[in-house]
Amino acid sequence: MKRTLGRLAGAVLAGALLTLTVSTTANAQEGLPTATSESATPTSEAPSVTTSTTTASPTTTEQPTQTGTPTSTGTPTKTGTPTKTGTSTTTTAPTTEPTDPIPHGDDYIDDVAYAWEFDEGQGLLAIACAVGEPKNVVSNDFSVVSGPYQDGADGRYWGYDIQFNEGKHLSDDTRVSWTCEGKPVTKPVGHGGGSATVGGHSQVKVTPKAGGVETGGGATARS
Amino acid sequence: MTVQSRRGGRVLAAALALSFALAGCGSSNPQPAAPSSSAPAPVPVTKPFAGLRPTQLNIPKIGAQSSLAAVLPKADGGISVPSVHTPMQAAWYKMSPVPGESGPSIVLGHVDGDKKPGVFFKLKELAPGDEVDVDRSDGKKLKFVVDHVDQVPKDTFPTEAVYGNTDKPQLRLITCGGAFDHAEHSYQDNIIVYANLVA
Repeated sequence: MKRTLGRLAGAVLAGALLTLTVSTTANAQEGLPTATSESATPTSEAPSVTTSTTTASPTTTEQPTQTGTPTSTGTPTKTGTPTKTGTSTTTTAPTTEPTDPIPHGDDYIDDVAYAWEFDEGQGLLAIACAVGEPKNVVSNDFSVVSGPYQDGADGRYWGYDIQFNEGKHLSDDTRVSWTCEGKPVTKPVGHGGGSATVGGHSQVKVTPKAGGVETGGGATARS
Repeated sequence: MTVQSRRGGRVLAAALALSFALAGCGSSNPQPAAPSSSAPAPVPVTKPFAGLRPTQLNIPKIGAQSSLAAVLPKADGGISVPSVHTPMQAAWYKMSPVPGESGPSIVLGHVDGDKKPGVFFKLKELAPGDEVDVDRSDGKKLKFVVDHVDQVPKDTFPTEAVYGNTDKPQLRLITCGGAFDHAEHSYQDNIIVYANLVA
């Protein structure tokens, strides 16, 4: 009995010590920002207010330099394969960065563009811009024929009907500039998935990828 | 899609399913409208495609009625579909012909979503000869008649039969069906209705 009580007392004491330790740590953590807030405020807090602007602008400046160089070996953009070639000590290293600028389903990425090219140089450009309509969409490789219009299912995506310039086609060197909420963006244009027919005449301009269509949540499923 | 991104999608789908379960929802969709953590809330669609397009769908036999949202292809090659939270919203795939033009016009609808039946819940009940009406933005009212209905596993989806060129104006109505794979949060089949323009 005595031993049991002793253990109980020990446990209570340990709990009290733990509480003391935790609260001290918490106090210390709470205290940290106060101590450094005066010096930290100007730099560390500003980004949290304008996260989208601050994070996106570095990307804008990074992309051109990195994707601009591998003109000759621009093909690796779509898949992870460039990693293999990137290991060589030549200038192919930057290919890893723009590996996948394309938003895939759930993994929404803001400030990216992708396109499909169909017959006779026509195409569709989609820009991901969650804050609203992109402006000043310009490219040396194509002109905007009409748009933008939002994707009827996800308003973050803006579609444009485009016409590639004479002798130009959608390639890894295709680039486009636009402003998103006043912020200038210049990016390489990703190749949209599915299959767009170039050369033939397909009534469905972009044939969706194989694997069916996802149109159910399972709410009425029986098995 | 790479194996890695598919795995990522599954993880995300699982996380979403968990969050839905916690919120009292029984299921989720692999392509939710909810934004990822890196994105702000989805913007409302205030500037939809305004060119020639189908605007309204009506299938009297199954009581399916909906306006038609014009949806784009997704970057990964899938079709953007309305959120499961608006399961009664049907959509027209903008990269397919406008109904009434030669070719297969693609219309999508949910079989269910958000714990409710969707606009195409009874799509599989359609039979040859049933009527499907489509209104267009130019005021034309088109009448299609069902030719046949297929139920196919998604992994053997008949791409050519659904999206391939046709001589005449046709309609494809697509939804999900078959058994529900709880691990994948996806139905295993698609129900596809093939219809021809008659007036």
